[in-house]
Amino acid sequence: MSSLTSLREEMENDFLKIRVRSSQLAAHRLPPELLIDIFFLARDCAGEGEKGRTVWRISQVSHYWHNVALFEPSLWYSIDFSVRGWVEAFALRSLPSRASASFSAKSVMDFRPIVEQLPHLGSITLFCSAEDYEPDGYRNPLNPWNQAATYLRTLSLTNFTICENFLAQDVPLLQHLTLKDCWLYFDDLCFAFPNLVSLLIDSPYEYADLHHLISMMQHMPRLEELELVSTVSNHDRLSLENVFHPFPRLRVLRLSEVNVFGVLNFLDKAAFSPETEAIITMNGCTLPLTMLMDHLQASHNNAPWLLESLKIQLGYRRVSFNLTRYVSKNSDVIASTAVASSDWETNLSEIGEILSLCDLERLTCLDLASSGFPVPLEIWTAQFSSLPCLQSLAVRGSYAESFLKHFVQPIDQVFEIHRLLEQDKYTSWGQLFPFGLRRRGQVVQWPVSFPMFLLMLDVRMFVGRGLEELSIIDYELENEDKEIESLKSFQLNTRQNVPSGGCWKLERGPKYSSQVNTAYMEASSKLS
Amino acid sequence: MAAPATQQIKIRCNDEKEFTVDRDVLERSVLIKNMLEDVTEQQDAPIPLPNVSGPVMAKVLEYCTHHRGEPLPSADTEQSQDETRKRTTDISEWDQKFITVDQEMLFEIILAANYLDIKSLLDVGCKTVANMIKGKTPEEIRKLFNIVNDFTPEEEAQIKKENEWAEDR
Repeated sequence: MSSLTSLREEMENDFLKIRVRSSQLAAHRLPPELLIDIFFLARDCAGEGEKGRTVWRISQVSHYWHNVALFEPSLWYSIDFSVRGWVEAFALRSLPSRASASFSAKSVMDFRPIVEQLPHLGSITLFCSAEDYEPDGYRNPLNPWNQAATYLRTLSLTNFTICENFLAQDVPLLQHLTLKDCWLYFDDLCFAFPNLVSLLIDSPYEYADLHHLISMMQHMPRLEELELVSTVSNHDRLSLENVFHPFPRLRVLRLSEVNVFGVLNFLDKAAFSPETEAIITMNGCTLPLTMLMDHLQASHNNAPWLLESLKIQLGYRRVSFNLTRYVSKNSDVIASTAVASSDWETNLSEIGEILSLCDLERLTCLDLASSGFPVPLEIWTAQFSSLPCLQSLAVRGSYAESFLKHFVQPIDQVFEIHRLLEQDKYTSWGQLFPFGLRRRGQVVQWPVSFPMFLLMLDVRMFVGRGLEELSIIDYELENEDKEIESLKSFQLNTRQNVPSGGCWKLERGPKYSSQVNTAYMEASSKLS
Repeated sequence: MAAPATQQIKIRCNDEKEFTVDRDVLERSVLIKNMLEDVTEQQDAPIPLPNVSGPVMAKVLEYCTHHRGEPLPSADTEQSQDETRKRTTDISEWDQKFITVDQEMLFEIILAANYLDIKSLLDVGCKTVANMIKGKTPEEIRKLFNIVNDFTPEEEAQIKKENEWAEDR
């Protein structure tokens, strides 16, 4: 027995030696990030139906390649699953240790082997790329489980025709549901998922009418977050009885790509907690905004429903608008933050119109995003001299590299206009785009003078408890050493209130080295 | 009127091999470009490049000289490529000839391009390796790159089993 053990140890040592020797080969000296780039290229240039096989083969070359391939989830995401056995193998090999998985396939049938293998998953994302509906009437990708998927808490489905009742039977404890481009039966959806905490419906094949939406929310008593994209019917004018439906637990309501009438109709019928944050994205600009503001004012006066925070952003035109804590039940809370975003050269008057909707007298914080070109002082004065309480100013997405040098000239006079404006409360984030907005095709330059950690801190203070997630996308790092220096010298000003909570993430930019991460962790520890 | 003299920059590789090169050629490397911008006064001391050997640097300079004057890839083009992370593996004729080198040199060029931050050269190198991998079985890839199969017998058996699924259906 002991000889067997020693033989085994000997073999393991041999393999270890082989691995050490392998690591000295040229092909093995490529760092993971380069190897991954090569894997992506190899995958993407493989023919249709071969992408999955290519990735699969790559992952079997050696331990090093295997580990590199398996630890890059996005390498596996967009591959076709036309090779049925491959799916099974992949599921068996790499997924048991994972809590979540994401797959795409051309047919709902292709998901079945995956699903069969993964009863333990807590989160699954399925994207069906089939163009035609299948003849069996509906596509329930979870059906192969043939038993309740009791671990599944988060489910995201794209392009399915779903029979909600059957789906609900499969996932009795589902809490987070995302349905994109799905054919939905709202009658069923209303009753199928009583435990949902968050629900996102994006572009269903048919709009939901108000009756269904209200009914759905009523039957989801735990719902805290609701996002509806292109879901609310625009034409269903007040067909409900004229009563308000309270949704006290709802914390976040996002309505996107909707007509203002759809928004107003929906908001007319729902009563939210003062803690609710509503984020509304709609087409057009000034007119809908005015209507919405008027509506909110009227609602505020009648106090049937109140919002703590309201953001309006990304209309079809270039102006976006974000007004936080505009309406509040508590008269002590004043309008504190407004974000207006525009191409300054062409939309100055629109910015003015938007700001005129705010209570400028009490506006303490102004955040100008996508501000474009340098602003002459006279334009600044014309637009913003009526902000007597302005204490904090932020510029983001500016083409100017430095607020001090370029944005308003001369900056000193801005401080003359706004006596309460504090030098250390404005920021100079050149080409940094508004948080959470995905501006595709553009790169965020990361100014060294403004370390990422301080940005996070600043954002927490700036946005306060409203911040749920900060996405910094397409960024570039300028100088890691300087960033490390800044992080090391970071001292928390204990007089500043730093709200807890919120998370942040970086996407599509260079990775920090371990030194920065260490410095970041050390700086973070000062917070606690 | 005579054209203005191009500034000559000296670099020193890790094998002490030195090159004197036109500044605009060297500035194909973002790393060196940044270094030169940080130095305000003219310095005679060569720029040390501890991660690149002389022979590899000679190849890199051949590439940079050929592509001198061409616009560096802008952030926009890189972004649009990165948007979907989908790229073709097409390589221009000259680049193909240039990169037709032995494997050791190929990987050294990739590593040097990565270190020196020459994105277009890195791209050529990575595309070449990707094209070599394309359509090959794991065993063929191992042979090609002289990679030792370092999976244990148990792992190998598992792979074999999985291969039956992946390759046969």
